[in-house]
Amino acid sequence: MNAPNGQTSPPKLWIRTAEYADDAARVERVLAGDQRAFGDLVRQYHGLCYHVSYKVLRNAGDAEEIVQDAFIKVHGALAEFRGEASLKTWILRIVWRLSLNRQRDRSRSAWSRLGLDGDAEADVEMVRSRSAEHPDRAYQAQDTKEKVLEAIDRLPEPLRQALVLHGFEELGYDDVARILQVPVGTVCSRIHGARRKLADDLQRRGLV
Amino acid sequence: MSMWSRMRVWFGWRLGSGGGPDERLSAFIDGELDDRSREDMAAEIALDPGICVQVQRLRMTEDLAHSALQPPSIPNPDVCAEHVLALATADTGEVAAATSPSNSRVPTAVLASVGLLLTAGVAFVGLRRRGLV
Repeated sequence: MNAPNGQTSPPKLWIRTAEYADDAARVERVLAGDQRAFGDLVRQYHGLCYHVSYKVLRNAGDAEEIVQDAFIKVHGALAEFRGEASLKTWILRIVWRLSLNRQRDRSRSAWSRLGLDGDAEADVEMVRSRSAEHPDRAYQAQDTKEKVLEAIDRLPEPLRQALVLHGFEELGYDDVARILQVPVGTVCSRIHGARRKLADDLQRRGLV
Repeated sequence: MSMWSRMRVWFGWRLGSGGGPDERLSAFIDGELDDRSREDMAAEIALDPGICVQVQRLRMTEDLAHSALQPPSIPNPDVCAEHVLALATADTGEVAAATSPSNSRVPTAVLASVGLLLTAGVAFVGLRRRGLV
């Protein structure tokens, strides 16, 4: 596991080759006024953007609004896209920033201070749909989810951000690094650190 | 699992097996290692039950975190695409007005106020004609 001198050697990471050529052609089409190309772009990345925003905000309505705002921004700023990163990470960076801003605004609001800003309606609906067949299991699943979310909230912010942003097949460490604007090695170490801390915390609660 | 393996899992986990935390485990789980490193790691895991337990624990933690953060459902992307296209192709001023929640509520509030005033006015005139006011 370790190098002979006792130091851990940095992992040799696999860097994905982004398909930038496709992105450039697509951007050109949108800039030329091809609305269908922009519609396709929205449809392609909508799910990923929504997931990322939801993971930050944990509120379906807010996440949907942020994704819409992000794509409007993307449409307006597409001429500034330089192709230094893939279109996907460029869009996700916009979604990420908007989601963090919304989270910050929300944490200052009175609703948040009263603990009323979560997606309670969605949670209730989820429990109700599950509880029809197995009420005990539904309660247990909800309880586990709440404990895991609390444990995630206790993580230091840089670790939490890496953990939250990671976890999609479409997003590798290199994509996360571009979105967070840190080196790939830092992403690797933050994700591992987050998992270890989370595992310790969840073990104390008997979940791992 | 032997006593030695158990001790190694407990103490090795907390002390990072004599060094810092081994990030290769997470990189392995996430499929981020290059082919050679991945093969080496797989061989190490197969030979060492302690590392195997660590990998299982990290995987379980990742699964729990992943499912806890999953949205209950995903909205229809077509609806979003249509909405965004309609707003994005409109004038910048209109876009700002439509996307700002506070601005979008203003016309509703103004309309409601005007409606209330009209109703009150009509009621007042009616009462006055009957000589009640």
